[in-house]
Amino acid sequence: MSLERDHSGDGPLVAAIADRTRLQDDLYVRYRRPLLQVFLHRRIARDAAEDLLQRTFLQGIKKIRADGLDDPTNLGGYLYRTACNLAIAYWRGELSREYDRDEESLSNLRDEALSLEERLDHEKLAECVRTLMGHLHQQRDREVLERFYLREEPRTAIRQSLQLTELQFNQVLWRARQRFGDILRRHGVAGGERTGTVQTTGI
Amino acid sequence: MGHESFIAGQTAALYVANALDEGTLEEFELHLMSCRSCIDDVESWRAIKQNMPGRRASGRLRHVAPFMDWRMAASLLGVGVLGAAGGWVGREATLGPDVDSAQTVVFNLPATTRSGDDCTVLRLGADTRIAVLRVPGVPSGLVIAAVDAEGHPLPAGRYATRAQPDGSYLVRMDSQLLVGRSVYLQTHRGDGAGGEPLGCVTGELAPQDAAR
Repeated sequence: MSLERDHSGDGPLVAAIADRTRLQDDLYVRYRRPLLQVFLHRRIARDAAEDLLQRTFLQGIKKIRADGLDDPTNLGGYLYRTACNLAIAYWRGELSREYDRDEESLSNLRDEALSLEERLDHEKLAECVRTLMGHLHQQRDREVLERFYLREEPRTAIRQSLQLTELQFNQVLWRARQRFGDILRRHGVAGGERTGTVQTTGI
Repeated sequence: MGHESFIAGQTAALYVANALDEGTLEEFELHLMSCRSCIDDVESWRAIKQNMPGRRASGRLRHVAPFMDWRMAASLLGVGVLGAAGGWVGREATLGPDVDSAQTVVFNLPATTRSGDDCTVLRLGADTRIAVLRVPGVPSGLVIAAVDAEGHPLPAGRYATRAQPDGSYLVRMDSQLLVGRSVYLQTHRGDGAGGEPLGCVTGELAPQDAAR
């Protein structure tokens, strides 16, 4: 079963934004989390990322209300490009501190729009990760995670030194992700659903 | 690439580890816009990365000696490199004196003295207005950014960077930016993605100048 969601809902959403109906709140629910990751991936600190998120949404809303989108079914693509451009401007120091905030457009965030880090406090999250590292049965799995995420070694170097095939490397990651999902669910956090399958025999 | 391929290839895990090439990165980020389960994966991997036991903040201080004047810097770094830099620093330095001035100090930050764990202390004179850092070994296609302790880029007007033909970078900073605070240098592709942290520098007034 694919958990993928298509963009077919973007058309009505774009119309709702243009018409200023309540449905426009779905804009934040649908796109806040992915756009936040886009900014975090570009090493933009969380508070600055929040600011850029607001700018992204405001720019999108203004564009829809002023000119409309060339392809209303691809609102996600438009917001993504806008976010990328804002990230570049941020790193060039080109963004003014003040911008035209439109408080009317910005809603209170519903739970579905919050990221994992916003739903679970930092101490709890750190505890979940410690539990994960303690529950990995194989020393090799722990070593892979530490070298990949702590020491940030290239995966080819890790694979070569541990004599892992690409499939085996991916299986280590898959097992860790499944275990982390279980731990999160025990802490009452949704979002740890199992996604996809990877062959786990013969390792 | 479709959803199933991203799942099978553990793309979310690779994304958080900065291990995707530029094309796959864009494809995956566009896919993220419409895939809630992929967002769950990315957030989980980012939580794992950021909370990995053993991750620690930088804090130690290490001192390096500056090249105290232009002639000494040129003799150690090579006239070719700083000859070009001199023009840049001299002509474009709207924020301070010419590189020939005693108000400018030049530091070399080779890879062996850079570390994410240490903050390198740059000794500044009381009259120092400009600090120029030479950072060799910056991979092509990447640029250098200077950020504060919270990770925010420093104001563009307060520092400038320039790539040199030998692959090094020059970073020119207002010395006031450095005194008493940590400035972190990092490489990225121009939008914050890719690259790596280069380390941290901080300014300290030389004791005889501080006592004045």
